[in-house]
Amino acid sequence: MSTFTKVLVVLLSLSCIFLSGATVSYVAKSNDAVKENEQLNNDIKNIKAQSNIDARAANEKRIADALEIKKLQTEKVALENENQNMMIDLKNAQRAAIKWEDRSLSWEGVVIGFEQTISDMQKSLISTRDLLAKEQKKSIKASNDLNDITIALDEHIVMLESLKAEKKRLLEQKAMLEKQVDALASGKKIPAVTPVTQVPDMATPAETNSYSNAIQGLVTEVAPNLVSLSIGTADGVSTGMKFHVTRGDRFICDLLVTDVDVDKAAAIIELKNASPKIGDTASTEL
Amino acid sequence: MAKRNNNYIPNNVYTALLACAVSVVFLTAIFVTIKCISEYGSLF
Repeated sequence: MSTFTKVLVVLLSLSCIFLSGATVSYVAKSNDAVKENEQLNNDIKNIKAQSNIDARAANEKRIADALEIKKLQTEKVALENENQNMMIDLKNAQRAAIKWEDRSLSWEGVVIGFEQTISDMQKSLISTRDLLAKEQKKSIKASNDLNDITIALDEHIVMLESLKAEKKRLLEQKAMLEKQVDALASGKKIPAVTPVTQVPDMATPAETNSYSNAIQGLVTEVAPNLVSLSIGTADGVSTGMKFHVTRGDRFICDLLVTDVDVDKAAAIIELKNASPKIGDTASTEL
Repeated sequence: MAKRNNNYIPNNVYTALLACAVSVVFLTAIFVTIKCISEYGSLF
């Protein structure tokens, strides 16, 4: 046997052993391909069924989503319309707000003007009241002066009347004396002569200022212990003065002035004989 | 040839190797046949 033949025999034998071993190992490791094929087919069927179910569900979901999208689009349109209406209302409200702000500003200016006018009028009123009080005081003083002058004039008139009566009496006495002189000259008896005119009493000065101290007023309001009078500083009333309240000839009570205004006064009741009423007379002298 | 070289391999060894290879191939064929019939029901 040649060397080449020996080499071929060895190589052939080794390759046969190697291929046999590989085949055995492959066949031993291989599984059942048919079962695997069936299993794969079942898996494919299951996957297809699942995919169909998923496709149906996806289709249903797509339809529901489409309906939902339509519904949302409708709501969107409605909301857009509502938004436009609200924008219009907002613009109207802004215009109204601007209008009312302008009105409020104008009214504020008017109110400020009124306040200034009122303050000016209050100042004017206060000054007018002061002037009125001064004028009332002047009037009272002038009235008192007029009363004094009237009394003096009355006194003078009375004195003049008495002087006239004295003059007339003196003239009568003169005529009587002339008659007596004539009778004496003729030797006749002299009759007793008495003047016809009686000598009146001499006029005496009236009591001056008897009325000036007597301030009279009326009770205008009555409270349990307080009384308001219709006279004030314009009539000469001052705080601390005492008034006597009468009703006809009846004494009611005494009043002590505690607060005085221009044309009214407040007083507390003292020596209460009866309850004063509105219209009672209050005077500083009984 | 055997006289010139003392370290030669006798021819029976090659024969045994061939026999071993043939037996291995035969056993492999049997194994594959049994396996195919048992799992697939046929050889093909």
